[in-house]
Amino acid sequence: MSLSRRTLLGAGLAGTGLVAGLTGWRVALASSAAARVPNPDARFVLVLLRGGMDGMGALPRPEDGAWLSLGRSAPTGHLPLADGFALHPSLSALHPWWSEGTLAVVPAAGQPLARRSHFDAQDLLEEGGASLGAAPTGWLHRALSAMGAEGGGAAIGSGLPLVLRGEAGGGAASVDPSREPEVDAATLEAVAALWKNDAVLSSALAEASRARALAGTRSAEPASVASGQPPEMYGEGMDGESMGGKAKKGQAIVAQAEGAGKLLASSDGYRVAVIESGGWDTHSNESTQLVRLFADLAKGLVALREGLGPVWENTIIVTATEFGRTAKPNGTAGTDHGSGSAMFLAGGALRGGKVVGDWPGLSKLFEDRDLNIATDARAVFKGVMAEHMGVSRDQLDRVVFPDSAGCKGLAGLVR
Amino acid sequence: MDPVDLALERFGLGARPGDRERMRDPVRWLTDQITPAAATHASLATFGSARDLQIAGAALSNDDRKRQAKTTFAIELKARVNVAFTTDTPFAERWVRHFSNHFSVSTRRLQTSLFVGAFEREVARAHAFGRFSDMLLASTQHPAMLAYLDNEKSIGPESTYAQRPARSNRTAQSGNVDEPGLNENLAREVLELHTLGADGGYTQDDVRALANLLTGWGSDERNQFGGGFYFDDKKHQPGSVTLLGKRYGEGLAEGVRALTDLAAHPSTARNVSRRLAKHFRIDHPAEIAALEASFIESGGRLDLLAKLAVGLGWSGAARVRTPDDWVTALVRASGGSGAYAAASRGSGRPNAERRARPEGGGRPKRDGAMQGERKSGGGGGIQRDPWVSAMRSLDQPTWGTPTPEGWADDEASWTGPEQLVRRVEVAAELAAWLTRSGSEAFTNVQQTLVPRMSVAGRTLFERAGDRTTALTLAFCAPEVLRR
Repeated sequence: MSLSRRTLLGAGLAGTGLVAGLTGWRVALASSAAARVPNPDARFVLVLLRGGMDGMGALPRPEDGAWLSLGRSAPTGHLPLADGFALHPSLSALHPWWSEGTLAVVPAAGQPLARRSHFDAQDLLEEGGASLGAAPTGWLHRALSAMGAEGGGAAIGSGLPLVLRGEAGGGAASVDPSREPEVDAATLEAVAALWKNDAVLSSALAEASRARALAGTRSAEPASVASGQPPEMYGEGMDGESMGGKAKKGQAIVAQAEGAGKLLASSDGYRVAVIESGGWDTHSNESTQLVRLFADLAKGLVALREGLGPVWENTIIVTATEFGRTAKPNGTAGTDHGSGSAMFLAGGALRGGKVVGDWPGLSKLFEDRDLNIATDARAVFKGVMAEHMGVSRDQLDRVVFPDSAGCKGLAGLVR
Repeated sequence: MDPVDLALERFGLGARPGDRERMRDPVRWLTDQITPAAATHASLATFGSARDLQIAGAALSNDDRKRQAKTTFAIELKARVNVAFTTDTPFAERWVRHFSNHFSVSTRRLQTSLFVGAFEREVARAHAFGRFSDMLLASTQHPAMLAYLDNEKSIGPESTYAQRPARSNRTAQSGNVDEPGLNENLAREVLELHTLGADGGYTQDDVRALANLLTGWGSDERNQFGGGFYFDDKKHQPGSVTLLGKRYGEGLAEGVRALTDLAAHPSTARNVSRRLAKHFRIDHPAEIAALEASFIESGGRLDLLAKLAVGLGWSGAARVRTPDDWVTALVRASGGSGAYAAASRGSGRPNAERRARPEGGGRPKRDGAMQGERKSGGGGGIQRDPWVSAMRSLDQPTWGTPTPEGWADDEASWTGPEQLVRRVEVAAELAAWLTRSGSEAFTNVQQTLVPRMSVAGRTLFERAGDRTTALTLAFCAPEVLRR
């Protein structure tokens, strides 16, 4: 982890964090060629849905003959959105957000390269490059660096996703503020002394303490949230679940989302959080699984809003997945890896209540099997980064998303 | 690290008391372990095969089969952990575990859980020092793998099975009669993970071709034909396919031929060598190239690969051990399974139980899963097993990889802030048990771990207020966390 980040950490711990945070923003302003004044209170949450979320399942088109003729059916209880799209009933908790303008949907989003391997596609999504391996770090880490706010990102849970990784594996922190350490303070101090001269270990430990301090955590019911889907052997009862990339269990999202909200709500805290949710790789029995997966997602986003409190007004949340799924179901009541999928945008800072980007229609399918991609996911990310977080267009085109000058950030996403 | 330490820690599973003193020639000690006997491990000889398990399971009700899976898993897990704590051939054991990870199957599915131990034995152990192509075939035909990656359900679009009108009830569920049942999962992972690697030069057409070749590869779940691998030609896709530029016809033998060809592909040599190199900290490009060359020239002989590997990686950078690796080393350093058994008999472990609680903060779930967990007999005790709860807390539940990619071997994946806090928790808990149990652990650790600590670390150890804290520090020393 870089020196500038340690400085940020030090400032935070000293309690003058608010000033340091703002100074960080001003430094970024001063040094960049940006024309736009960033919102120093802006928060951003990226929700990674690992496994390939079926966007067409999330946003059924019950009146669309072409959609129905694929062999899909719109689940009972779907709620109307706009332009022929409906919302899966398990996402109903989010429907009021649509009405109040704090939810938007991108129905056919995807990546610049067609990769049907989870790991490749996830890496591409998180690297933010035009090709695989274009950057060894994550785009969100680079965005934070561009803002001079390298210490401002947190991955919720244990383990750092690529999107927040910096050079030499450093970067943001994976923290779990919903959970108290189960070891006494004296021992932690002794270990801290032992790790004093080890950069990787000592900065990680310091970061864990900082996150808890910021979230003001003292949960009545300590949630021991292990990342990684606990296999059924270990006592969990979820039959026939598909694995979904580098996954975290769907239900863990609720506890983590609340932790993320609290962390971001603190005025001296992080500006950016990444939550991961897994299990989206619905090769079989998809409709049953989606009921649960979407319900968990909705609960998570609601918990996030609750944790954020008033800071919700300054937050934008984006969900993203590595690819969508085949337009037609397969032989095991599921779908296989596809292309275009849906993204959800939410938050008080969002200009929502609308469908974002085009719907390419279903008369032609990509490689005769997938929903075409009408919106590059990077365009969505860029739009949010530019208008909400104040990252300069130059930085976005060259550094944050390398070689992406041809991919224009979407405008009008932010209030 | 000196050569003796490297042999014991990087190539072995961690020094036990006296190991260091007994070591004469580190490389010789390693190469002596490159034998089938060392890989298969005597203590596991009595365990049944996957076929045996299927035959036994076929007669059971659904509920009993679940119980069979849980009980079998619990027993297999304990055996495996015990091997790790006590083995005299730790390099062979590490080699086996690496390849088990290469062909990762996970307990995600209950069906797989029944077989994970058998899979490791029949795939990784049986072929650890044999030919890679044999290991690949064993893996791809194993009931665990076939269940894990959905191949059981994969049906050739023009197969006999697909043509039958009765079947259209199933496809009507999905509503799609155009493409009844090809599932690409297994084919994809064989290409992406087991053989060529993601950048190995295959296309989506190749995935599809291999998927077609593998239709019908299943297992005799209901013991109609003696259990084990069973090729159902009614599900098999007729006709021929082109895979990586080669034509293959229909039938089981052609699928086997395809796998043999994949094993011999140069990209496979590269992929296997790279993953191996990462695990053994073989960083130098020339050394990795040597591994690749050996693999190609020998036709995938893993014993020759191992002999070469033990001569390499001595200068590679130490990286943080995975949780499994680390706790195993701690237990070995403290005095092996005796100390662990003594320690785990210790008084009530509220922390372990809390960590073993399912996710979601322990709030009771409506679907009754939590109630079921507490009441279950047989394998129900596994939640209280200290190893199990430690591994869950540290994100590495044994045989429970989140993806077919297996466990990562880089440092960044294991050194997030939260992860390191949990390591301290586990270290403190282990230290407390060992102290309470009055075992020889403290003396042993002074002999095995403390000498490897830095001067500053040793000072902190000596100045620690009590034995538990001292042990915790030794367990968390950077030199002990890494290999």
